[in-house]
Amino acid sequence: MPAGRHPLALGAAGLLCTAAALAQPAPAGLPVTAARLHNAARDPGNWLMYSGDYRSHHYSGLDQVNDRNVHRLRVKWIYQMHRQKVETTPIVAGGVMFVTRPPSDVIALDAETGRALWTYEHKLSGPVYVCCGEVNRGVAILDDTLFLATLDARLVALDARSGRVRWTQTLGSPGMNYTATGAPLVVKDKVVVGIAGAEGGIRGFLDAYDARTGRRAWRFWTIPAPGEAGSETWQGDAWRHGGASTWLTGSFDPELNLLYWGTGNPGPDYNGDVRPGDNLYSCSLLALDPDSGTLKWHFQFTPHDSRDWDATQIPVLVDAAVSGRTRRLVVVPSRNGFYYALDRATGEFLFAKPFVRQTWAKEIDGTGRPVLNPGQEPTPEGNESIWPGVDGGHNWMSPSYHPGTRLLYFNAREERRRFFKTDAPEFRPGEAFFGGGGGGGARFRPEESWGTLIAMEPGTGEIRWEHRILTPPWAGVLSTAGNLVFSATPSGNVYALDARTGKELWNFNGGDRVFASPITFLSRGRQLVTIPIGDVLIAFGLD
Amino acid sequence: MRTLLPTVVFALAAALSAPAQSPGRSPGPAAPGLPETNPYATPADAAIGQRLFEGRCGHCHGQTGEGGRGAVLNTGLFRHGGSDRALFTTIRNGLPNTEMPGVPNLPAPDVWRIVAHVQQLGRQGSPEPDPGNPVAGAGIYRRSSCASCHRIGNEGEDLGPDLSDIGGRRSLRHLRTSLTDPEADIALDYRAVSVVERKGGGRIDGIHLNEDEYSIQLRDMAGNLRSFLKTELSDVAHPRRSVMPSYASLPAEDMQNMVSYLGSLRPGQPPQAETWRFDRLEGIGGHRTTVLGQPRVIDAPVGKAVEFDGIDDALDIESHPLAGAETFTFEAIFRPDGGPVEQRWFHLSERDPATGLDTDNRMLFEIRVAGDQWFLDSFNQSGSESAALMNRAALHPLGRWYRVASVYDGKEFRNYVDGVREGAAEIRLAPHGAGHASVGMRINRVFYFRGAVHLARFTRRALSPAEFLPEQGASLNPR
Repeated sequence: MPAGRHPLALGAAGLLCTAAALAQPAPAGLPVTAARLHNAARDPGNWLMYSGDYRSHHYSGLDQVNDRNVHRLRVKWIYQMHRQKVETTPIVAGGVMFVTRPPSDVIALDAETGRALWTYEHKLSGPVYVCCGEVNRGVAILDDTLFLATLDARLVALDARSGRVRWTQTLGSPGMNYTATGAPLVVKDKVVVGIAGAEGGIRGFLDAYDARTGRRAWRFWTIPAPGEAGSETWQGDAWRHGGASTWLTGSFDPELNLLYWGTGNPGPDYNGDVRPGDNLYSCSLLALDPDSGTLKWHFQFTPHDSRDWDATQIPVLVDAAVSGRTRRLVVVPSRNGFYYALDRATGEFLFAKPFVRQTWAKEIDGTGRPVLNPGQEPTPEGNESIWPGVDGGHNWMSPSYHPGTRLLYFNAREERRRFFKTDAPEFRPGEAFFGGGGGGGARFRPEESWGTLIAMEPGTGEIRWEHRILTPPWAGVLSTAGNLVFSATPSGNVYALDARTGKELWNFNGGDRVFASPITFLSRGRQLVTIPIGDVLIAFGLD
Repeated sequence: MRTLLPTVVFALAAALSAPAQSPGRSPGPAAPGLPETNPYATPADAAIGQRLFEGRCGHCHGQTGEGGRGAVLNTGLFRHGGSDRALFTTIRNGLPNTEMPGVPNLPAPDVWRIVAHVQQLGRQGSPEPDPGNPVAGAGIYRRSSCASCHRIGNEGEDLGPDLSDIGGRRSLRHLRTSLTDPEADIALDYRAVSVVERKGGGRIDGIHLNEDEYSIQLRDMAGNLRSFLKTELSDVAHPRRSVMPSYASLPAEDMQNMVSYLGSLRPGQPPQAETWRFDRLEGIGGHRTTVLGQPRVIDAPVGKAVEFDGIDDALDIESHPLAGAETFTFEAIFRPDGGPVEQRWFHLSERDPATGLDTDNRMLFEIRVAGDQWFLDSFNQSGSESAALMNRAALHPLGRWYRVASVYDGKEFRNYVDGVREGAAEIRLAPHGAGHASVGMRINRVFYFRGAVHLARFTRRALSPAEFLPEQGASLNPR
């Protein structure tokens, strides 16, 4: 239910701009048509979808804030959420920001002042088992409707002007440990939405719904039922609770008409003894026909994973030369510690290179399959020799691709953890389905782990430069036409680097850990940069 | 733009807070509806619990609960409650301001199974053997200047971990290792750091307090809080060494005593057994002691002892070591030398906290002298209940060393001489409150004792005669 409304009419958001203050033309507001989503990269005044555009470049063509003036960046406003933990990436259309807060609320903010226009407070339908916090990562938009996936596994369509509910669909039963935390992706007339709960023993899927009616258009089960292709990689009934969630947001190539979406770990997470086989399509990248949900190809990064190395990371679509030939690539810095480049039309494996210290694989062979090292599985008493840790070399934080520098920027986590396994769990509603754990971080000295923001040539996997930070990060990266790269550290420092050289140009101590990605947009013609720090959303602008 | 003042030096404040990088966890209340007793306590559940324990808990608590970085679990004594429900809450929620994490995501049945296993570990009832002398250990602690870095209660400094309750948090084995090899396991909040200032080039060592990409905060070796921008430093090192020196060169007995002393530091949880050695006149049992008359330390066949003249020699010791004990064993090794018939030589007295005066609640060892023999009188009073165990037929020669014991098991009060029972009475004795003790006289300075006392031990449970103090050497007395 909308908890509050503001007299500002969203359709008139352009009226917020005074002509004298305009430094750039005011970006368009509602409706955000499918055509505008298609061209989001050419609409830098707005931030229209989770990863900025369909290619998931998380890049902005804005350059008001640039390498020459970024040192003048100041706090413009702060929006207090009073909720933990904030992993959201807002979208912005016509000077109005739509941001989520835990567990599943949406707030429309005046992007100029940070003042709320309306709030939708989602009432959870009952208790929900969540592995990793009551989080939400954002909404999608089409025309004047927002789409929200909720912690109790609903898909809610909201009137973007008022927060009024237009329709609600059930994705899965929270009673069976289904939950949803990711931002949906609108593709043409459909809302594609993933599911979470692999730590609770779900059988994963990816859904698409008609944006207007809410009717389900298709469902792709990420774990095949017996007899279906890929079912030979499971034994017995293990597939019923085999995980392979789809809890982050995918990418879309309109020319190839292919939707790319990563899948999570198999379950139980750490005891693989009860699910012999590769466990398709866990830890995989799926390429689907967005109209029908038909699988076109798949690539599995970590067959038979037992270290919780989901492959849900955001797939980035870039065109780059590989071995002298320009290829249409989908690239993924994987949680398993290797950077992968695939042909995004065919799924052909091109190469993989480690980008963090990793100990589990001797190499990735010519087919893309890892050649395993011995002694790198969880053990009953705990195995402390495995790099990267359970949170992986990379995770859900957004990477960024800059078309000017032609570099891919992403945050990497250098650490190990103590992996242990216990008896295989029985599935129980409301309870975890781990079969072990990957904790024990406190046992290691902080100096044994660190983070780096990596600038990489996507066609070669060569690291151009690195920016080291003190501890493994959870923040995403934004690059801009102002020759800047923005990110943040677990210490609470937001910073900007020269996108070409990695030289640090600005920083600000926000005083709390950052579990989110920065974005940028125009408000009254002025470029703002926002990022959640702790449980507040902070907007920065030039003084 | 963030700014930080150039090098800032703060005077060491008396009330220093925990390092900023240690976010406290909220203590979790017991969930409503949580059962009092474990619904998953079958042997099969405990076996599953053991496997769950091995991966999650064993690396800190030891795989058999012998303790380490985590608390000892095989004694049956749990600082935060030993009921099924209390253990469930501790395991599920963790403990704030400690290194004990919770397991909020572990299914409740599995937490209960860990509880079943932990209770099984506790039933081993095998406290670590502690052959040391905590009183002597306290002296070694003082002589080794430990208090220049560590705090116990209100005494000492804050460079190292507070030891006020270290005995309840660490096993004796872990304490010994910490003394001999401080690098073996450095608490995360006490990591060493070493920085070099660009200006002047001076190296500054200390304890790491906080750090981010641009600055670092530490407590230097003089106890000052210091903060540096990293641009002011030419080197920031996190050496894998402890700032604490190794005490591996301590003589074995001193080490044993020091470990015993540290292990005895458990406020809020009195030691299960406390031993007083009468090898000195000051600080008996580590407690403030007032000397009356001129008792003297002698060398006896049993070792050192304090001898009293039966006229005005006595010690008043500022502790009632059995206060709060629901069951107990009160033992002493002494030598009666004759004199007046009625001698009250060891008196534990409760004090009224409001008035500071002695109440009638008391425990006593008395003797009656009959010619060249004596017999024991063990007295205990609590409220309106009292019992005097006096076996006039159990006569013993004067001038020899004896082991005497009073035992209360919650129902029966018994006394013993040299392990032989002499009397018993059924009685309901409520625990005493805090108070003090006198040796060599009744607490009100009458009925003085002629003889010597070598040792006393106070145990908070009813010991069997087989568990009593052993004879010192082959025999207490020369044959």
